[in-house]
Amino acid sequence: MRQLPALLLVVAIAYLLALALTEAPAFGRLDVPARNEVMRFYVDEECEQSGIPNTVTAIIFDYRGYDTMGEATVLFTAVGAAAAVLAGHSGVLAARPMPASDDVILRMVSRMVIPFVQIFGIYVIVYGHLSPGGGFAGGTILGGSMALYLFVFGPKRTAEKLPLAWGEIADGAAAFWYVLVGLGGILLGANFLANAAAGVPLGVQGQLFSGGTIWLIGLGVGVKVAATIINLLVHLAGET
Amino acid sequence: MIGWFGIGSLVFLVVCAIIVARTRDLLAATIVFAAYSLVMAMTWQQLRAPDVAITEAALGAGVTTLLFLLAIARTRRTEDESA
Repeated sequence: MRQLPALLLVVAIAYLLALALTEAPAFGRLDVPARNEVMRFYVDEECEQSGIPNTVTAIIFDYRGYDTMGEATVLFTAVGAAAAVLAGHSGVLAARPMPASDDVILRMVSRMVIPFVQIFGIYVIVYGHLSPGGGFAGGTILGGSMALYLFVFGPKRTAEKLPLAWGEIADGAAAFWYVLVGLGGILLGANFLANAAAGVPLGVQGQLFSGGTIWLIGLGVGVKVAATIINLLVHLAGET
Repeated sequence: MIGWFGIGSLVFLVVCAIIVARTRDLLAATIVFAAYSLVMAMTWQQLRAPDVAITEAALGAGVTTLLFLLAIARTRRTEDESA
């Protein structure tokens, strides 16, 4: 009967959530609370102001670029913390590194699949301002492809292809790159991370090289996320 | 409004979440969690949020699963019975 209070709590919360759901406005209705003047501003003005069709990417890398810089720093801190914690056990981890897989099917399939995954990841990064996706999603796909290599071929061969030092340099350099692009806005006489307001040419909307600093920042974030993921996994896999 | 496909996905999500919470085999829980993320990505796409869908598919189904798998490989596969 120790579970009775927990059960009652779960039922009560489920009842309240169901109650809230019946009150929620239907999907796609025009009178939802989210459809306020902020949302209307972005939908009406975004394409003119930042010159790219993907409003989500414009908000992440342009209007809210400063917040995104904070998020990129969170990733940097996470990898630093993981490395610091695992460094205390580096002897234990390195003494028993993760073994490479000896499954022929796994090795052959991943050898064929990884290049395509990487091409898709790069596509999602560099076309993030035109189609869904962007630096975070594309960087995750790119990092995932390298993680697959790590899982199948083991940490030793991964370190031959991509030494941990390179990954860490890419991680730090991409974070620095973000700040550099932001300082460019100040050099051009406007605010930190300013894009069109600083006079950065936006290019022709819909083309690959358009949107000013959004493209540069997206590239940096993509490299940063990919490096973060592979560094974190390599630290765990025991090649420190 | 959400159609039968959406309702089916939501039921699948609830069942997956319960299985993840209940199972003692951490490897099985990780795989079910990956399936959860994949259906969640489809649901995001149905709700017309393709950016979130791509990130969910890559992060939830891909990298989170790999991180859990690696953590299991470095520790033990089953949960402690006394816990």
